[in-house]
Amino acid sequence: MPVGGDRTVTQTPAPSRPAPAAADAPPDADDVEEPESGGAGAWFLLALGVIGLGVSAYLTTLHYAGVAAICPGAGGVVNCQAVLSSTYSSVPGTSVPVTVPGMLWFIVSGSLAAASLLAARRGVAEPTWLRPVHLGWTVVGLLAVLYFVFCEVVELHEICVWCTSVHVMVFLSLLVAVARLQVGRVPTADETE
Amino acid sequence: MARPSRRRRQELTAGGTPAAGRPAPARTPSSPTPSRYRTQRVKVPRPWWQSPWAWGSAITVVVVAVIVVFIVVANRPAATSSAASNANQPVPASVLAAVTGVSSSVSDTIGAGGVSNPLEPVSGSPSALTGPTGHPELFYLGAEYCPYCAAERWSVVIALSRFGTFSNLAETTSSSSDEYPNTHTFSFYGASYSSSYLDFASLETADRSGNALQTPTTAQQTLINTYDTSPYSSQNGGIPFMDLANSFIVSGTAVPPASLQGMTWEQIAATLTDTQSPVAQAIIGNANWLTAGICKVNGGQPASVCGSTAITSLESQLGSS
Repeated sequence: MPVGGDRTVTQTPAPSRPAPAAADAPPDADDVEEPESGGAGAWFLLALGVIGLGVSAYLTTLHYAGVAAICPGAGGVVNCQAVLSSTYSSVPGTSVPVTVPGMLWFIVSGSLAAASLLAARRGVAEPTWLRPVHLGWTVVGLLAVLYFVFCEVVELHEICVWCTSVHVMVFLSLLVAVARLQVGRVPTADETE
Repeated sequence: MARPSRRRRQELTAGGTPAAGRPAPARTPSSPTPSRYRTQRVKVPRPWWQSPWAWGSAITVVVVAVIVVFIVVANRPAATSSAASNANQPVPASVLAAVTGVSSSVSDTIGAGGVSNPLEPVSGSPSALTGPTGHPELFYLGAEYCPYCAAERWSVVIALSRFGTFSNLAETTSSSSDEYPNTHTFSFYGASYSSSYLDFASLETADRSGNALQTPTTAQQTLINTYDTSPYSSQNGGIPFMDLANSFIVSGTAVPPASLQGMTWEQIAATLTDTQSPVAQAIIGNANWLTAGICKVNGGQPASVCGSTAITSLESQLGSS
């Protein structure tokens, strides 16, 4: 029996860990989870669509009835009548008030949000084109908003409270549409442990 | 719950094995993957610039910056838009005080001021024209270039100031290339009026250069088509034109713009205390007729205005619609 001699200890070799797979590589298109249908964002967009449609319909009704809008906070730069009766309140070349295209915008936006909610209710994935299209629609809306703000601030030097509320709703719709598109595209990868 | 990607669904369908062409997790040749190893999907942290907050913040910053640029451009002294009259400036306090503070004694002394009744009764008893507050409405149609409108506005401002308050009233002059050029006056474009007795709707169709300003609503155009024509007006769509609650029509002006030639706003305002001034007699006399008409359609309110000697006398001379 050896004494003080070499001793050999047998250890169970640590299992080799395979290299993390693809954790540092950029995910490809197939590694992105498809977006959830519905969600709080869709509900918010639907609410904005309904409220915006209501305000636009109110202003349209007043235009054809020839009645001045109630103008909260009138005074100073706030002058609803001046804005709503200006040349910029009608679609160029027509007598159609710009509130009519506004109504159509909110109807489309609300419908796109409703489509997402409907897909969620049915338990199916919403179409992949839905969110990009909604984002594009809100971009169109924002461009129109910037035009109308230019008309109010630079040309008329007056603002309309009702118009501003509609502009804010379009802007918020854009932000939510951007967020929904970003959140929906969640990059993933396989990791083995 | 989020649905797995198309590739992942294919993998699961194929029994969990990696799809063709996709590298399998690395493993040592001599040690096959123990059963305790699992492959799972993990979310890859996205770069900060791809987060919704980053995008939302960037968009907000851009939009705010654009609006700030608009405000800066709008407030530049040399920046006047094609839609705004270059002569439009806020009415000086002294002028405003003069037109809104014509004393009752001057008004009573002048009375009609030699001005014929400009109020034409509307026949047929149409429904009353009311404004957003439910009060009788005075609808005014004019244009900044129009010298007759320029003369009429002095009386309108005086009359309406007896029932309410103007805000953002601007001063301007009529066209320099029309008859009675550069008649000093006010503009209702951009102005607002508040009153507990009367609603006022004004429409300035063009600035002093003829550039389009405001367009009538459908209802306003109907009023114009109905009443700014024979037998109430000698010219279809002529200006100035006023509809007082669908009870009286005023077409044209009773104040000769020739009498205001060469006078500044301050000079015209200064005459409004002189009962012997032909300018004051025309302007205040015309204003008294308008005041009488307003009193007739709003039930004589307020009594402090409608109960004065001159107004009571003129009101009794108004025909009924």
